[in-house]
Amino acid sequence: MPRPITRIVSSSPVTYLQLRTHAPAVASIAESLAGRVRYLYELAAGVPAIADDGVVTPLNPQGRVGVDRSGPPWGDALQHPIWIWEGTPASTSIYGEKPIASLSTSGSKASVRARMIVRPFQLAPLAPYSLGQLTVRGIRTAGAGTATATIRTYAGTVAEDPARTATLTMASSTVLSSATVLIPLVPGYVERLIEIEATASVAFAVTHMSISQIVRRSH
Amino acid sequence: MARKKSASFVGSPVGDTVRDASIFARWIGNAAGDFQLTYDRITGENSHSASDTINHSGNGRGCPLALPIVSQQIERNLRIVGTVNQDDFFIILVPVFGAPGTQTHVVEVDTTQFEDDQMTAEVRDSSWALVSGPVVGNRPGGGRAMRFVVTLGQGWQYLAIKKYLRHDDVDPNGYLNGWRMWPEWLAPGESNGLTVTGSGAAGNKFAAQSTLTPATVASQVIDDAMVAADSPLDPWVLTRLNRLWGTLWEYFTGAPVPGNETITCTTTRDHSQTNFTAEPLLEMPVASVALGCIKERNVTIKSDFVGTIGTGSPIEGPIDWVRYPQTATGAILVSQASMWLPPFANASPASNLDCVVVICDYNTGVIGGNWQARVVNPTSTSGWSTFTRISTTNLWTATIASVGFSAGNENRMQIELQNTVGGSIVGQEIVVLGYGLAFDL
Repeated sequence: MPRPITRIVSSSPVTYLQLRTHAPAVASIAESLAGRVRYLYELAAGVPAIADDGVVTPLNPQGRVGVDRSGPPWGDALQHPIWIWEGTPASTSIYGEKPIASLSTSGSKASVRARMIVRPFQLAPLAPYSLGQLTVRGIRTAGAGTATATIRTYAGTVAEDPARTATLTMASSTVLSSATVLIPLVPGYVERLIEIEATASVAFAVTHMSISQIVRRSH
Repeated sequence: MARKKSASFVGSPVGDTVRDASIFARWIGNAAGDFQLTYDRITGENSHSASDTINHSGNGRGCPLALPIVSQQIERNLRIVGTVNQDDFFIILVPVFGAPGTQTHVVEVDTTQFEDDQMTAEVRDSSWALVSGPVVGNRPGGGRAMRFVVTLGQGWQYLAIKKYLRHDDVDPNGYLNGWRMWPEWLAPGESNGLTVTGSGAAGNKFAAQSTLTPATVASQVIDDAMVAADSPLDPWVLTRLNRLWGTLWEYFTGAPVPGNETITCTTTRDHSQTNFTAEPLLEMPVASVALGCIKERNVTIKSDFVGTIGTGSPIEGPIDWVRYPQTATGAILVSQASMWLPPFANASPASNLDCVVVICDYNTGVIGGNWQARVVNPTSTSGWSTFTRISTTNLWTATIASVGFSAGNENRMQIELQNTVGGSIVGQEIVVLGYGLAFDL
């Protein structure tokens, strides 16, 4: 038979009207104020406030006790990279390095199937982890004019929302340009086909790409 | 008056707060003391012991963050050309950072499979002593991902993935797509009941304060005298405690107090030390990036090296993999990667973003110490850090401490190397194996 808890815990709110000078001194006020302090303490410490009583708060999305910074209400979502494809332009200084993609003809395409792990988070509308920012960086490599490319992402073989495309414009052969696309994320495995299509016949190279969790909070 | 603060959490006996219970002042006193203990542990304010603040290191100091260490796309061949013998290769040998409170990690490497070849994973410490493994991987569902489970200690270590590589005419399809590493989560869940909005969540309906700063909140203390025995049950104290709780809730959880769903805290906990100067800093991995590939034997033996030294394209060894700077002087851009970094404190005391680079010097002689590494990004350039040898191996590592970064922004990190000897490069070549970035206090 489980033991009853020895210290009060509560997640029930109390309004300011209940706390006015002439408001009745009902037990729910004490229960709420004292109980919610215990509730918040446990979320902060990640262990029961009263060891013998055990855990009194819900487990977080990763299955542990307490705020783990995976997004409200489990703390502000930590900004961090989720997927990386490093690279650098071809150089005589180092062998083996190569650009991710080199395109020069309008209509030509390059693609990669990106596979990544996203930490557990609460799936809810506007949850910070629910969108990852794909950043693609490139540079014009030859000729004059402006190199342009369209960046698209596919879930499986289906192109995502047409709004989730971006144009990469590379007018310089010395300064990197970038384009960003927001893609939906879910906890666990996420796989996306990322496609880059040249939209002008000016040569360019994609040097590196990444997907990051960039939103701190949803409110 | 002394600020009411519990030395450790006290709580209120259930019997003190039930209907018809006698009114004891102790419940409000303990609640105020417990609240201010919670406040100090979260914010580091009021000279609370730095060793007791909530820094998400587990063991009562906050739930571990358990962030994934890496998902890296690589896209390189795993085929050997030339006369180099087929052998065991470390196809990934990279620094990885173990965050506090997390140990068991899952590693997945996406490769082609040749017959029933095994692959192994091992974790080694800064002296190249085994921490975990070698463990044999398996392919769940027979897919391309080879999965390992390893134990990672706290701080910087090295992860090495070993695979037998063959000549391009034997295994013409040998290929490595990428790899991932993440801590074992108890439940890859989405939600467990606590919601952002709605009456089911903890909270109060009294609006939180519009700002949360030491000046406005730290001054609103509850003193011993306010909750002393025999003192009246003061609505002013109850309201203050309710208001403080609501503010701390919004600051710490990032969620609005129900009934007040438009968040009114102007900030949430970001470890920038702008709201609270003593707010605890966090340790967390940022990324590990694998670059090079070497024979296992080249870690300890200087023979049978991979690649043709000092020439252009390698005609020996794994295709497209060998990376050795071929110029003798000046900074050589080895790799660049973009990553978004959190809004951590970037001034003193800094959050200390470290970069660890590992190379292999497999030539005759000992030349690893002639090389240096640095990190360049659009906002800062670090100093050069000289490589030091890992025990008696041919591996050398350089740690660049306190790398500058743009907090709360995307950062383009460029890893550069230089040879300090200059002149002829013969005998000065190295393989750049990889690097890692982490907030390491």
